[in-house]
Amino acid sequence: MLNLQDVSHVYPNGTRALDHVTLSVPRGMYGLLGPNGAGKSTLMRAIATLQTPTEGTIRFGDLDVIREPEKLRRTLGYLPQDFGVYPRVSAYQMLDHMAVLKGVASPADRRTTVETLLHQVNLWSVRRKMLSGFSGGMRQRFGIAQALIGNPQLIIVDEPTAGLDPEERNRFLNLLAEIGENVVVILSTHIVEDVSDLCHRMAVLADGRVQLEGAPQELIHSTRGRIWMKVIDRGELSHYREQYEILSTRLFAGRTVLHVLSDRDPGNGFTSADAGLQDVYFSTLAQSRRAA
Amino acid sequence: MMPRWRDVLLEQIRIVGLSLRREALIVGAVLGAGTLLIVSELLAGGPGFDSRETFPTALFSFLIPFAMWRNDKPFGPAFLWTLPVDRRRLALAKVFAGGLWTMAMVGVFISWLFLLALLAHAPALQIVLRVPVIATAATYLFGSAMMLGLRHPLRWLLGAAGVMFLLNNLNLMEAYERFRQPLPILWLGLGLAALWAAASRHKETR
Repeated sequence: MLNLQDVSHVYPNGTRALDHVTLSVPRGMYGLLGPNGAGKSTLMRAIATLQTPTEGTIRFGDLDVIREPEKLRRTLGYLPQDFGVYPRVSAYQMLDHMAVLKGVASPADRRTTVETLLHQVNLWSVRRKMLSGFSGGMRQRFGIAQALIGNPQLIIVDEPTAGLDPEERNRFLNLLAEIGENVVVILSTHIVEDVSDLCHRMAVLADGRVQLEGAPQELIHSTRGRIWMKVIDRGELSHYREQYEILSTRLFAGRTVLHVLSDRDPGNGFTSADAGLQDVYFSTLAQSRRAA
Repeated sequence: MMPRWRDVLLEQIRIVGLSLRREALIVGAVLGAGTLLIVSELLAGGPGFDSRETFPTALFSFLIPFAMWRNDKPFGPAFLWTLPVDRRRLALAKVFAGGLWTMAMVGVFISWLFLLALLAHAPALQIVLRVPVIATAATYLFGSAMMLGLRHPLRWLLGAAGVMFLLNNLNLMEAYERFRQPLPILWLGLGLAALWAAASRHKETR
């Protein structure tokens, strides 16, 4: 289990990216949701030993991650937002390179590892292709393959589905679901569906603080009966914004579907809506903004 | 698992070699074109070699680190730093690997030069000795130090200044080496010092 206790990080320019973050991340897929600038990437980098937080402790099992980062690195798989090394090298060669740097010394073991992973992420047929010629989805699958070298116990994936088309995203999420059963996997994203599709537990981060934490189904359940919807014309939106706390708006058949948060029936033609994780997320962000 | 240092070094030599294939192809193409020119001149009864020719190996080796490191982000939270390898050692291993390949390419160039000089009945040894090998190694070290020690855009500005300096001083470098001046050795020492200082910026501190 990964434990973060009162983790804060202040950048040299005074920006407080993390503000006393305390989290317990169990085995399985764990979603970290938040808007851009919420502090997700700073938190991911702190856990991945790339950045030392200015305060707090991070422990992975018995291991003190901040004091002994090199020990965590032996058991860490990290998929960053981008990894731009040696684009003119084939996928097979690059994976072999990463295996050496992760300590897989025997050529026979390395061959087995590389070939198994390339099959697992469905890149075997393009193993001789240069990484520079890979699509976004192929790159992400390659990224997962390199993160899996050496059977890591902690896997961190930072915004993995940004920029992927729906088919690639689906394939990538299936892959993540497969690997997330026996190890700790932290999925950092601002895409709510990624978390609702995959994660057993999740946290919402905003303004560097954990605003909400729990199992997605429980969180959805706790919002049930407080989400109301109405279909309006686009021109009426500003009028509704003045009167209600609007969580989200989306277009459907040229009209605007409003979701609002209210403990009681707001009347005025609103009907009760089935709450989804997106409503939970937006309501959390709204509360965070109000508190700020 | 912790990788063995020897494995890391050998791996860096392998992967840097693979990543420099395009540069090696360019060198091959230039030498091929040069061979055609010189042989055709020899067949036409010309001298084949001009005693005023200079060999831009020092410029070439200065540019190699820029090709090697251009996709890396040596500063900030780079992805490679999550691997169980000491980051300063890894960087120095890469510099060593690049240096090895650069000098291998210079070796190919010198062999080529020697063979063509023999073909042209020119003083092959004298021509080969004009190649500024020490300055070539020194400029490789300076280029590597820039890539490891300087951030964008300073590295590119100083890199451009370095290219201009080398373009203007290729003759001078050859002359220094030919007449056994101590200056190239001094450059080599300075290059090593600059590289060490640059690599020290990547020492992990907690």
